[in-house]
Amino acid sequence: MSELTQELKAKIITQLNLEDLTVDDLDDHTPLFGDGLGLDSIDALELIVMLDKSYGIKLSDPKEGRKVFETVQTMADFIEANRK
Amino acid sequence: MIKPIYIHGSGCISIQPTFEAGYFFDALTSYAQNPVPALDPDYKAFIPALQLRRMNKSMRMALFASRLAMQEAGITSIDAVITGSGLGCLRDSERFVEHLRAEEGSSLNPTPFIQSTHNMAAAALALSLGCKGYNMTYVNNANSFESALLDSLIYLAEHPTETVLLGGVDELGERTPQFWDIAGYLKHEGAEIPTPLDDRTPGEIAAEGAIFFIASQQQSYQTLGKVLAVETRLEVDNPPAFIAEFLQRNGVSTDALDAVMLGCNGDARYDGIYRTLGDTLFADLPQVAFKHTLGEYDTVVAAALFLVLGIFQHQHIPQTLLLNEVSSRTLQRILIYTQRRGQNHSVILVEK
Repeated sequence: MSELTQELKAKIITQLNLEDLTVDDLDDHTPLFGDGLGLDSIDALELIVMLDKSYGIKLSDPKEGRKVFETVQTMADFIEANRK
Repeated sequence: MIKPIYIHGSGCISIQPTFEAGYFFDALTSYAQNPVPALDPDYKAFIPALQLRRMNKSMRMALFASRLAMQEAGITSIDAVITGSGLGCLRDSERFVEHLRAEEGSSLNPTPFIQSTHNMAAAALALSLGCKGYNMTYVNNANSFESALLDSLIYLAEHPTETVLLGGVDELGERTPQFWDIAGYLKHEGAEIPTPLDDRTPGEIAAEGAIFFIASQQQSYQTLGKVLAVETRLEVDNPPAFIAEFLQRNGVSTDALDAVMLGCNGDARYDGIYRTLGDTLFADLPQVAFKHTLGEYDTVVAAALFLVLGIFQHQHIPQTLLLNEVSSRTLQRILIYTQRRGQNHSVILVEK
């Protein structure tokens, strides 16, 4: 799991151009949206595309995204449970 | 007749350190490459990191140059945004098309799609400055900035109390320069900045930049100069006649000009147009070049206006830009004439 969270952090930083962040700066439990990392709705779309491209997971219910993209840890849990 | 517009502030990002306070072309940064990317200022000085991360280079350059212009003009808000861009946000356009091809139309990343349009820089400016007014982008090849300038003249004639953020921006792509090369646009032999203007080799040095101005119909102590008239023409059979007629229509003779700024770029195929003008219509005027230091792109003519305003302010033409030995006692009225690849001719009349 730790390997997956590290991989996810690297992908998030690259995909969302978080130029000032490193993998070490990003905590597994930091909220990605709102008061945490401050991501927005376009970032959510980027994350949906990333899940599809990198892990073959399509989010069929957009409301599901709110829970899935809460933290790096929730994303990793979701990927572990759903990846093909 | 349209009234002149006054320019109160200017900002320029280019392949020279034009964004540095006090820089005025007395020393040039040299390059031996083609294309040449613009120098990056510390964008974070004006743009929050969270916004910056998603901005492509056009948006970054436009926002930074705009902030410089606003800072110089001493204003914090504007009423309208009018920009020109020949090719828009080229990198994101390329990324979008490449994703489209690679993914066969599925799983497309939203950011390059959203930011692939020509008016993205103007939109980013409006969002960043909270400007809900008129927002227009002109896409007319090498006359894109001139079209934005003409619209600014018209807009301010209709809205005389408003202030306009006017500018031009173009960025280099990653793949597009390869297509330009295949089309024979790019210079190979002697591809350097400053580009030798007595060169006999074909091609231009591709570059990028953003140049923005604050314009209104009110003159103030901040005023850097005023634009009296602008005219564009796609095809011109006889450039000297085109320019002479423009001057006549605006009641100015060549004797009343203090200098002329020409768009020579070292492309042997088209620089003859400027040489002919330099030997005839403008033989008795100081002739100033700018593209040999800034490279070529669709909206680089906006940098000529930036330079003219600098010349007014300094009352001096940098030696690095002079094409001849003629000098002028005062520098109060300058004509800008450019064309690109024999097309998109334009003239801009500027006064201190």
